[in-house]
Amino acid sequence: MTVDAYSPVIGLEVHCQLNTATKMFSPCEVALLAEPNTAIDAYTLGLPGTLPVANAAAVESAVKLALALGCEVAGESRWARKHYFYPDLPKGYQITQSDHPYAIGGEVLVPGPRGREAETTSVRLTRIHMEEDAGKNIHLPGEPWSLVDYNRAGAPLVEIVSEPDIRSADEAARYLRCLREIVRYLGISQANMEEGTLRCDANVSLKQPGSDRLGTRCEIKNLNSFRFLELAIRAEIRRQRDLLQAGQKIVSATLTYDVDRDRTRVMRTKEQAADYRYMPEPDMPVLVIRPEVVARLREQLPELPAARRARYIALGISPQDAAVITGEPELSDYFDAALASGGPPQKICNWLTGELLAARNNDTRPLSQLPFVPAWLGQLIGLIDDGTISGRAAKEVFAKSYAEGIEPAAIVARDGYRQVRDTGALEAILAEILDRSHKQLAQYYGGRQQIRGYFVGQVMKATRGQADPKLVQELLSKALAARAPAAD
Amino acid sequence: MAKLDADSCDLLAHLARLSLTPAEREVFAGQLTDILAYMSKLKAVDITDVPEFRSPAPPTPPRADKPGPMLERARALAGAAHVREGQVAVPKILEDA
Repeated sequence: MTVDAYSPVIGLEVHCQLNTATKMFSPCEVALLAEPNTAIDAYTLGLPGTLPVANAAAVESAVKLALALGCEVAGESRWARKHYFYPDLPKGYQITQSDHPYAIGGEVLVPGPRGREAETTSVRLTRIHMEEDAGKNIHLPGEPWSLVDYNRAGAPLVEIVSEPDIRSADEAARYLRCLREIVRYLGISQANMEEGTLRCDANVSLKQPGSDRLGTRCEIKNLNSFRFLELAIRAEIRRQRDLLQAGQKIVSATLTYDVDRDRTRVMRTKEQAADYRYMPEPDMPVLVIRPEVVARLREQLPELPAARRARYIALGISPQDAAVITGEPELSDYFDAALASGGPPQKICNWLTGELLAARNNDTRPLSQLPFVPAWLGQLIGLIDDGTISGRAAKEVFAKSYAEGIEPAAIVARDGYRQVRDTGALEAILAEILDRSHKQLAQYYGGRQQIRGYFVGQVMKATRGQADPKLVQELLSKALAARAPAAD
Repeated sequence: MAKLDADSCDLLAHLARLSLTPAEREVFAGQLTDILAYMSKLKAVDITDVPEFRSPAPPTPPRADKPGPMLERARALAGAAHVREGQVAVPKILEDA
């Protein structure tokens, strides 16, 4: 049996923290960067006498996500208690949704790998549910203590559960990127893996050749970067494949990814306890989401990345560039604004993904606050296209315009970037150069064609690089022909 | 009904983070067996045609996303057994692999 005979079957559980001002069930502020334990209230700490009340904004954000992913939104859904004892969970249970989630089904269309973006695959969703987050444990290496910060406890989360439709580590990462893009376009979450506002668990199993049955699955917990997600899935596929090839069985387990050893290993923590003792949450009534609310939120949905990509491709932009532009909503908005103020789409795209992104690498300002406004891209391209400035000068004009916040046309006028296209002036310069270049002329007429470059260079020098090179070549040909020694 | 076995009793105790002496385990196994027997009696009732119980109270309207009062840290952590650097210190959670 060959190694490739086993096919990986992967499903992801993605937690996404909603960017509301307050927590899921209490009016306590969500402030992840605040000093530890300064964004807490009586409910967060599970003090007696407190009761949960759902945050309307969190519910609306969650519904927007469901609509964007094509889920069916349940008119009535329910809350459940999931019990476990852990220091980050003061109440001893988490309010979540179990048997009756608010969103069912749905689908994510995942673009293909780089260069093959148009080859999308479909990953179906099982469900999305809402829940509250737990606090954050800080493990101190070599010390007998763990420290607990409850600022995050009670923060609103959605958990997006996919069907086992993913077939590779690479596809899993693309799926997650796609989800991140969508929530960012919706504006409902920062969705930042490093900051923990986007988190991922991966269920991995291997399908035996010729079998329709899924293998025993193992769950890798707490994958907090795209890179780790891919590495962990690859490591887990290797582990399971090795076991199967050795004739052993896969035992269902919860795993963690050890980055130093590049392997997955079984966790010995609370997640091993399968018995969460779910029960209906007695403190929360049924969650009613009315059709008119759903209709209003559907109206508010922005144009999503997949639709934008399709629109850009229809304008002649390559799928690869379209993927870069839609990679962040701000970039796509900038592109749209540049398109709206006129200019050829492909050229705008080239400047945006080239010079502008490069300039922005050393800039922490958001695109919307750049002094270089979208309309200036079109203006700059217009200046090149009508021959006012050369392509080379345009890069300098861009750099100055970006740095100083002055529009390209004004930079061109101020710093003399205007291309010299005055035929008379160029002819005069050329004549002067040729008059003093006896040696070079002799070489040229002696058959050394490449000496033309010398003459062009002299003209460029005399015009400080502003002569239109095409015109210079034309005039040079004429002048050289006119001065050619008469044939005997 | 058979008495709850020792392993199940231990599992439940573990989930509740209780450590039981053998004598306590005997007592609780007996009590839990009684409770389970009662539950199975309830389960035996045919409720096919009984409508689901719904609270007559209207659903609580959701809350606007407006911050309310919070707890001052010193006060909030006053009840914790150990506090370090503004955080609750608990016996180490992660076991070393």
